Amino acid sequence: MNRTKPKKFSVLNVETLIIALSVITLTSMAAPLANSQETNTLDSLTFQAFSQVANVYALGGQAPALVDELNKALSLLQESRVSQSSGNVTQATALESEARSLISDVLARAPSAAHQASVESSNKIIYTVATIPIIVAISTICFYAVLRSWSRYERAKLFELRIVEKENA
Amino acid sequence: MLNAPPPERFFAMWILGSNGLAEHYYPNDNPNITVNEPVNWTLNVYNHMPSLEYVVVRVKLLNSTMASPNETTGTPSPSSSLIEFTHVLISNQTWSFPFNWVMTNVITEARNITAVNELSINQASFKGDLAETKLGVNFRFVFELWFYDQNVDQLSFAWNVANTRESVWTQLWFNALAVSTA
Repeated sequence: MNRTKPKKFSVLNVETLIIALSVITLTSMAAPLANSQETNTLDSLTFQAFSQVANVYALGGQAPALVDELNKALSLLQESRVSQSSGNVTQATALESEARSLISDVLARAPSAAHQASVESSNKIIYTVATIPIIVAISTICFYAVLRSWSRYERAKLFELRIVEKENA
Repeated sequence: MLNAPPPERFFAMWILGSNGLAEHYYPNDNPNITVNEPVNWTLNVYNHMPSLEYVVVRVKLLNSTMASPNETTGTPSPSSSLIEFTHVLISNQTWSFPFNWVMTNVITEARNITAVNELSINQASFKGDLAETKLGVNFRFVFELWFYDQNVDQLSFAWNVANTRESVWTQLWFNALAVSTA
């Protein structure tokens, strides 16, 4: 009886050890996986931010401030990767966080820039469409005025004509 | 109605030497680079696409036998990149950035194989079996230009122009002088 008890205890210990090791292994496996998923998410966010800014330009707008902010974020991400590879995890995390904040800001501001670009584009079309008949009307009036002036001048010249008789006759 | 011809769609990439011109790529114009000898280049990327572009320059350290990018098929080199530089470029804009590198550990192993084991690019350090050549000759940095393709939602190396694949890459060769371990 007394011999079995320590055996049971040791089996329990082994089980605990195995579970603990499994947890440690799984955690260590999950950490890089989580890290890579986080990187993928950040890449995806960056692409999303870029697509939204690109849309502003596609609508005929300009958003240099957003482009600069996105480039700043990309530069910070680059620095973060370098810090990560050199083992400076704290700095890498801080840089990544700053980049994430900039990307979020771009994502937040891009829709209003796109809306403004869209409105400006519509206004440009309306202005162009409205300008065409005005230009045509002005051109027609100018042409008509010149034509009238010319015909008056021709008529005036006709009235000024004098009949000159030959002296011999 | 007369329509203007569509603008030509392309990227361009080029490298300048230490003085910002297409010369003096190596210290003393000698492509035999020694350990701890800094080399300073400037990379330039030009966007002639009609749209805003997200470009990535992938830098690979290769030897002469490793596969280069293939312009005909529009496929990149299968080797993995050491470092990447990313930027967003508006249409008709040029992006310039420094590419300063120094080899910090180069060794010659058996059979005269010279290996670059440690390298620093823009003060970022890279360690491991980066590349090796016989006698240390014909190492090369290959620079591939990738861009974000919104249609496929990923980075692409080549784009289509009139049913042909277009891509941009460039390279610079050098020889590495090792500290012999034999």
